[in-house]
Amino acid sequence: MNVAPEHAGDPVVHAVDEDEFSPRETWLEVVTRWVIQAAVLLLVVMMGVEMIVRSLFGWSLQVTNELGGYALIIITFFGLSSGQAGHAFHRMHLLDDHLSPAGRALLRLLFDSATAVVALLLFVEFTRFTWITWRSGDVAATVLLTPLWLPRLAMPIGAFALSLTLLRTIVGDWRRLRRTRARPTEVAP
Amino acid sequence: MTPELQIILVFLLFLALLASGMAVPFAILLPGIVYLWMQGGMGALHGLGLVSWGSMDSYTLTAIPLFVLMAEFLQGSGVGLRVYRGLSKLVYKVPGGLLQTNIVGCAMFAAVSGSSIATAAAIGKVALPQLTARHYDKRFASGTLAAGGTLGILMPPSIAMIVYGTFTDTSVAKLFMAGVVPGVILTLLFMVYTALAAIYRPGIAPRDAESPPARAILSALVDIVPFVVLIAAIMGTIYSGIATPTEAAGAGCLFSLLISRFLGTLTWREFAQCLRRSALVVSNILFITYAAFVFSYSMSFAGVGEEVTSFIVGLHLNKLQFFVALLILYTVLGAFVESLGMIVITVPLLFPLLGAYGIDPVWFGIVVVVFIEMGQITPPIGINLFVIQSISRGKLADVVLGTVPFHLLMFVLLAMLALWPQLALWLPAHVSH
Repeated sequence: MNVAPEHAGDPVVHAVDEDEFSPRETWLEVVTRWVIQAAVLLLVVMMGVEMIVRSLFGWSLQVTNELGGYALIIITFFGLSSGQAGHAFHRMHLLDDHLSPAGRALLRLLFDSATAVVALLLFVEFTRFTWITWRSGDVAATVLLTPLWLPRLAMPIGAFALSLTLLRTIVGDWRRLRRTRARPTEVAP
Repeated sequence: MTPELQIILVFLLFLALLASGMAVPFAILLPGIVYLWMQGGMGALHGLGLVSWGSMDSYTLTAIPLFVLMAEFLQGSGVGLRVYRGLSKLVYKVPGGLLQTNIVGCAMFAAVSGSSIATAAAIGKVALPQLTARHYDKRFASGTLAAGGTLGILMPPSIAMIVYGTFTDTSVAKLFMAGVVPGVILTLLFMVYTALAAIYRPGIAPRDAESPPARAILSALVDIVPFVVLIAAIMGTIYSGIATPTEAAGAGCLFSLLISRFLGTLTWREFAQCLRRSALVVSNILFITYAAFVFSYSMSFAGVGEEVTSFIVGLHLNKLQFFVALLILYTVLGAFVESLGMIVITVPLLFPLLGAYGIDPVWFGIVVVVFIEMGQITPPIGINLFVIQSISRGKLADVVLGTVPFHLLMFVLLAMLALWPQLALWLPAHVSH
C-alpha cells in the first residue's frame, strides 16, 4: 500500500491514486459533498441541543433518533460519489509494484467497470424500493409521520451520482490505458 | 457447485479483489452481491433496498461522523500540536522522553478521535520532525507511533466498537466503557516497556540537557487541561447516562469547536477544510460499513452463520481452545484484511457461537478490537505501518521491526483479558442507564 507523504493520514490517504486521467471534482461531487457537510452540521447542532435541553430542562426534541437515521442515510449514499472522486476509498497496492504501467491501467479499468455495474445495480434496486414505498404511502411511525419515500430517495440519488462519477472514472481509465500502450514509460500511476 | 465450494470461492474472491487493489468497500460489496445472486437470483437482489435502508437508518452509527469531525477540528486547528508539546514537558522526567510523549499523546488523541489512522497520523506528523531533530532511534520512534496509533480504536470513542455494536446489537456505551481499562493497561504496558528500553539502551532516547522551567510546565498544563476536560466530558456523560454516545459526540463537537477557536487557530477557511476532510473520511467508513452489512446479509440469506456455528460447536472445543482458535484466525486474518473488513467477515459468523461458550458479547467486542489493533501493525497491509513510514519517509522495515515488541505486548493484553475478563467487564457493569 502506498501513501503519499503529504497525504499520510489525511482522509484522501489514497490521493496517490490520483493522476492526470482521474476525474476532477465536478458540480455533482461538490453538491453531494456539501449536502453531507450540511447533514453533519445539522447532526452536531441537533444532538448538542437534545443533550442540553434534556439535561437542563428534562424534555426531549423527540425527533433526534428519526432525523439522525435519515441524516446517516443521506451521508452514506450522498458520500459515495464525492468519496469516489476524492479517492477516499482505501485500496491495497500489493500488486502494483509487480505490474507494468499498462497492467496497472488495465486492472483499474476492469475494477472500475465492475464497480460501475454494482453501482448501476444498486441504483435500479434502490429506485424500485423507493417507488414501491411511494406507491404504498408508508409513513414513519413517529410524531413527524414522515413519508418514508422522502428519506429513501437519498439512496437512488446517491447510487446514481456514484454511477455517473464511476463512468467518468472509466473514461479516464480508458485514456490512461491507451496512453500506457502508446507511450509505456510516461505513465506511472 | 456445492454450497461449501460457493462460500470458499466467495471468500477467495473477496481476498483476491482486496489484495489486487480494488477499493475496499467495493471489494466487500461485490462478492456479497455475487453470493446473494448465487443463492437466490434476482429475487434475492430485490432485498437490497430494504437491507440497505434497514442497516444504515441507524441512530447508533450517527456517532461516527460526529467523532470524525471532532478529531478534525482538534487536528486542523493545531490543538493536537499544543497537546503534544505540553505532554513532552510533563513527561520530561520519565525515561524515554519524547517516546513516552508519543504513547501518551496517542492515547489522549485516541480518546477523542475513534480512529487509529487519524491517531497515528496526527501524532506522527507532529512528533517525527522533533524526534529526528533530537536524534531519537528511528526504529523505536516509528514503533511507538505506529503501535501507539492503534490505541485509537481501543480507547473510547472507537469507530470499530460502534460498528461492532451495530452489527451485534451490543450497547455501544458498554463497549466504550469496556475499552477504558484495557486501553489504559495497554498504554501503561507500552510506557513501561519504553521506559525499560530507554534505561537499558539510553541511545534510543537522548535526554535534554536542561529541564523545562516551572513556567513552561504551567503553560503545558494550560495546553492540556481543555483536552482532558473534553475527554472527561465525553466519557462522563456517557458513563453517567446523561447522554448517548451520539449525543456526547455532538456536544463534544461543539466543545472541540470552541477549544479549536480559542486555543487553536481555527479560521473559517480551516473550518471548511475540516468539514471537507471529515466528509471524505466518513464516506469511506460508512461505505465500508454499508458494504459489510450487504456482505453479512448475503451470508445470513444463505444460512452460512448457522452452518459455521454448528460446525464449530460440533468440534467440542473448550473455551480456552476456542480462544486459541480465535487467536490464530485473527492473527492470520490481520495480515491480509483491513480493520473493518475483519469485523465484517468474522463477527456475523462467530457471534452466534458466543452463547454456546458462555462468552460475554462486550468482552468479545474488546478482544476483537485488540485483534484488529494488531492487524493494523501487521505486515503486509497494516495501515499504521504505512502511515508512519510515509510521514517519516524512512524504511518500512524499520517501522515493522519497531512495532514487534509492541505487538508482543498486545498478546500480553489478550492473555490478561482471557485470564481476567473483568478487566473489560467491570466498568460497563456499572454504566448508568
